[in-house]
Amino acid sequence: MKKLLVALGVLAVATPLGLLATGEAWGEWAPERVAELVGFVPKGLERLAEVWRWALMPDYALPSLPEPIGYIIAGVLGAAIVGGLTALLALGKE
Amino acid sequence: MHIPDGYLSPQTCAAAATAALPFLVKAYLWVRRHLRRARLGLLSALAAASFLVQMLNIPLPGGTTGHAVGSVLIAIAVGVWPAVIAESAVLVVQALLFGDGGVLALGANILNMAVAMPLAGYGLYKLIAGSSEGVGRRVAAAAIAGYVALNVAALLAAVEFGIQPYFFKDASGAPLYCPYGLEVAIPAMFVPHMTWAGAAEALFTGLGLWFLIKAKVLEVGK
Repeated sequence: MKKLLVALGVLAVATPLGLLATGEAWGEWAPERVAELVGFVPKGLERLAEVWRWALMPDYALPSLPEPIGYIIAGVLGAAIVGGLTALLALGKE
Repeated sequence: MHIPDGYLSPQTCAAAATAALPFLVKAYLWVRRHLRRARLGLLSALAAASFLVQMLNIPLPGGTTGHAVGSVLIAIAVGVWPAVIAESAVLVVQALLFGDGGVLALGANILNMAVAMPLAGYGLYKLIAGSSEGVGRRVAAAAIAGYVALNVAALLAAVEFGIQPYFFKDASGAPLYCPYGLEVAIPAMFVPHMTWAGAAEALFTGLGLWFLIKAKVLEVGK
């Protein structure tokens, strides 16, 4: 188990490498970017793109911190929450 | 390949969620009844690893980015139904806490990456590895299964995107949601996922399994 945690730690610290990729994923564009690509913003996209406004750390960043630091924090926080949620779901009421 | 909100019509979102639901129920019930307590730590750790590997964006040809998902490794290491639960947890946290992937689109993202992908990956792994106890064969099977399953998920996403402009238009015929049809969406999804993203998935799944066996977290006589 300890080896697993070490591996997770390595992964967490390595996450800022993901910031080096500066392109954009197909189909994950913001509405303004869609307008650049096809000349207009589809009305449904415009209406629904911001339907969820309560993300704690949108795009894995904290505005006050440099991107790599925010990214690692998001990684550690997210990993811990995901691990905890999975344990909760898998354990049920026991 | 985390579909954001606004790209799929509410009807598509509802249809995808409805399709995913029986699998989620089955997975939850299975895990409650059959998952050995001793496996819980491993499942949680692999769910966390899946979350982290998805933050490792890889630059892809054409200026786009992609990443591995990790759900196939979970399926191989702990089981298909535990993987469904774990990957769903990853996607829910990503959507709600980090705005990565839509909340309305969660059903579709779960269907693609937390249901279809681990099921396809596990099935293919079993087919290739058989009952082999050789580490090499199992690792190779894992890598191939990860690669193929990622592309299964990518195809599903491409179809979900690509049907939008045919079915969901406004009065003037303009697309309401994803403006690209299948003829654009399918190649656009396949090019990155059959190349670098698929390679990343193969690497993560194969290397991950190798690591788990070498670290004696998984017994090879399984």
